[in-house]
Amino acid sequence: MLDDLAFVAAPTFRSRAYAQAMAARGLVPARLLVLPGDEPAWPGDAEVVCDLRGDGRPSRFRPAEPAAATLSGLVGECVTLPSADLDDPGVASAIAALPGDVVLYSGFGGVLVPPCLLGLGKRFLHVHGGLAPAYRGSTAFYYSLLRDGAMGAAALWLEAKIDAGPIVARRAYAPPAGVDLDRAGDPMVRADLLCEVLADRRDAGRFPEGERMDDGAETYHVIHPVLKHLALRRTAKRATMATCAGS
Amino acid sequence: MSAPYPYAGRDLFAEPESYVYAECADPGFLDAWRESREAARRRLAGRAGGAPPEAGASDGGLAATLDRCLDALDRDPPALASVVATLDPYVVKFEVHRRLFAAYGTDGRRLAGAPVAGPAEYVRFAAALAALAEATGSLKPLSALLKLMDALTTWPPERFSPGEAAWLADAVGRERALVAGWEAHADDAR
Repeated sequence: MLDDLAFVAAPTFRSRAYAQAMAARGLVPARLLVLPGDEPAWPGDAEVVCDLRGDGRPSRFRPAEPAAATLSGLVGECVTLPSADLDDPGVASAIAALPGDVVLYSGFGGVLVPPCLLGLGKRFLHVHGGLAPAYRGSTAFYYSLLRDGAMGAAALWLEAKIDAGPIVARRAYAPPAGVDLDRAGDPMVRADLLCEVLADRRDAGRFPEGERMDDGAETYHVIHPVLKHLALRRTAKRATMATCAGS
Repeated sequence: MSAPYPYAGRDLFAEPESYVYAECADPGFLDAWRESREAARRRLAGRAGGAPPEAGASDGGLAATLDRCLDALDRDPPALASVVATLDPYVVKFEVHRRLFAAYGTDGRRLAGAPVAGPAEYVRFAAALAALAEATGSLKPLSALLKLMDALTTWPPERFSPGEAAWLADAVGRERALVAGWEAHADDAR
């Protein structure tokens, strides 16, 4: 258990992926704080299996399993926050009262951590779904998929400016074939990098400060579906070519 | 038969689309988009004609700002850095709010009393986004252009002057060429 780490989790596929990856690798936060809300439905297969790093070691994700269900019994403390509104004083009080100084944040999509939380003296660890700084912002991995044929993730310390805080770790990934990238692929990629960061923290005894990277920075907005279609088409084509090459 | 393009059925300025978790993997999606745009181009062609739209009247006007960007992009070589610096705040405003205003102050805020932008501003914005995407190869202005064109092609052609309709029809063609370039890139997946 990582004693200095609390996990603030909204009911999202990303939170579920984080919880399962941390539980599977024994990198469990000391505390879980759940943002209230409806859990999203998953209509697909019970388990998604991918070889994210191409090393023959599969990553497994059960997209229908809520984060609280995964971590219940593993974390030292699990509470539901009084509001999903991050500006609510009760949320700030609960976070300010955490004994540790690091908060792993997995919030609702498109909702930024407000200044009232960033100013509490905690460090907020966020895993962005894109190879920052070149791919900051929303749906960034689709832009890199279309342009470069790769997804990415970047673990960084949250600051007011989107995805611009010091980068702790980042990695490019080949897109997993035949996987819902929005609800499974991207969460699994982020969870994989998160566990790399947490393993380093366990071994080193502390989280790193991270490195500022601003050269070539670009901040994207939700990708238009025509470009998303082409990104998916490129991904499928490369997967087909890889299959043919291996057969 | 593929489903029709899903973003063509309503005024997207009045009812903005978030495009979050868009369902677009169907093989017929791109053809549906092309058909929708071609239908819009034909409607606009029936309206198009006459002189190009007149430049914005006031120095603080967005139309005049965009005209200056278009002039800068037309230079040899184009003044890309200054155009990106000028246009990016408007890209952000449009992406976040799905609308622009007709005039902004030097602080980037809407000028008091400035109306919502109309055809004069938006056709120029489309032309500038297309030119910037062509000049830089960047996906950011292209994604914004696609959203802007989704919205503009939901307006009836009568909302545009003949000159504005001509500019917009031209933007449809440039947008199509830009997407075709990325389609070729996607299919050359080495």
